[in-house]
Amino acid sequence: MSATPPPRGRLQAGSGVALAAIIALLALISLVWTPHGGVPGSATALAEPGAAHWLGTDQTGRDVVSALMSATLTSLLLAWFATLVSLVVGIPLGTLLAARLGPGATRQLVLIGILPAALCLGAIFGGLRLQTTLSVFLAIGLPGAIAATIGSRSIMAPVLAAEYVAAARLAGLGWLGAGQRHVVPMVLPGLIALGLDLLAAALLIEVTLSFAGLGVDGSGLSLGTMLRDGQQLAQARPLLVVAPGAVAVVTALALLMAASGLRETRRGIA
Amino acid sequence: MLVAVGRFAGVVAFSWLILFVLLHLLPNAGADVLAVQFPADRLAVTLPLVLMAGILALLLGAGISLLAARIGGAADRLLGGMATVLSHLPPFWLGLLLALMLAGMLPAGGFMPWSAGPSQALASLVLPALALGLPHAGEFAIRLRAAFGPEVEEAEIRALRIGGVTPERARWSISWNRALPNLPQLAGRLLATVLVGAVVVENVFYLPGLGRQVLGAALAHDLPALRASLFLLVVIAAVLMLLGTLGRLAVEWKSGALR
Repeated sequence: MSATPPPRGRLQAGSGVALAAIIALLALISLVWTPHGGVPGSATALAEPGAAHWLGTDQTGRDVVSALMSATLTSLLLAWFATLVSLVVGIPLGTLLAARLGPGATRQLVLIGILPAALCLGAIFGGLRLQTTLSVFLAIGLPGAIAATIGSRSIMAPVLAAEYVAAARLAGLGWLGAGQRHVVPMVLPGLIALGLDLLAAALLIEVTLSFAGLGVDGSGLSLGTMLRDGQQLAQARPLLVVAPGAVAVVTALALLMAASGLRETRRGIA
Repeated sequence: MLVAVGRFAGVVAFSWLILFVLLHLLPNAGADVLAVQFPADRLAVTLPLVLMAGILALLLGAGISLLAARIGGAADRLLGGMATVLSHLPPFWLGLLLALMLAGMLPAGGFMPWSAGPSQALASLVLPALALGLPHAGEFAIRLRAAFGPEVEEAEIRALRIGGVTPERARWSISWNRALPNLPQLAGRLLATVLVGAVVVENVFYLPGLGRQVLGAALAHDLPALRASLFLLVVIAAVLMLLGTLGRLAVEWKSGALR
């Protein structure tokens, strides 16, 4: 077993994490500073992109760069909490299933596994007048928990059944000790990669739901609502449609890149 | 063999159980479908859209994965990366972009009814079908590539080589036999996800389909209409998945895996 992972996986994971971190940092900075405050009416509506407003302003007279920064924060936060809940529910369930029943299905594609269910749930919750943030949260979190269960089961099963774990147990190590020393280090990269996949999927679904009007409501600002508002003006100001979607897609792809890099690293060690 | 039969029976039973539970969770759902009047005119938009997008996704996805499996190596990785990117473009955003770029050439909003002539109706479905089909093509390519499995080993093709088959053909037929049982099921699942994905895409292009009815009812908090339309959507999706599972059963039966 070689200790140094192949550089390709590590480079890929590193650049993915770096890109996602830069975007997240810009989003966080919006809490204390944006180029123009991002308040509606602070500038002329629908200004052309230029030196003053890098991406122009929208129909309410809000600087698009400032709006993008705060909208990314909203979208990322919603996606983050939905992912966290999915993992907190899914990983213990998946571990239990792996220990009791062994390996299940092979790894599923996370986004496609969640999106249809999330859309149907979003429509139901939207129709029931559920509070919109909660509705997005549940619509992503419920199918996300199932995806996390399936994913973590297939990650945990081979390690739990490994001979060296049984050997460690025979040698007198308790469940907790064996888990800490032999299971956690083996499964951690896989589980983190699963979490990153889920986060990317959750972000794209939040954008889709908010665009459809089932997510963050009129007063809130997320990447999806920016796209919804921009759709009417797409012909006159293409940037209002291109920019928010591009931010969402680039963030999601950076997270996916980090995830697949992590998996590659793992394969190199195992 | 019995295990395989049991697995299929389980899958079929499970999908019907879910339907049964859904029926009872949504009271009077069946009656509502009839009361709201069977939305034949909406299905006349949604089903052709799903079919067009589905065929595009199947052909393009199969093409990408066949190419990747055939060439292998760096091209395999590159095509896999392309498929991943494609599968993570939200269809509605792709629709917005396509409408921006191609609005002059193709109708980018609204629907010409079939009575006005099939060519115009089809033309108004081209951009939505592209928006819906391209991301699903990426997804289908990834799944089918996984079904082809890892590179065929020398030992596996030896028996075929002895029978006088060229190595190329032997490699090919082994990959193909690995993927074939999965194909109907993958196609069924693909069509089901395309159907649900159409909900948002129809809204981007102002198409009066079933998905637009679902979303409109949800936004208007019109619960009876929501129940009826969502029920119909889920039933059609479940039937598509069921057909896929039955297709797999048929393929495995024919190949003798079940006997």
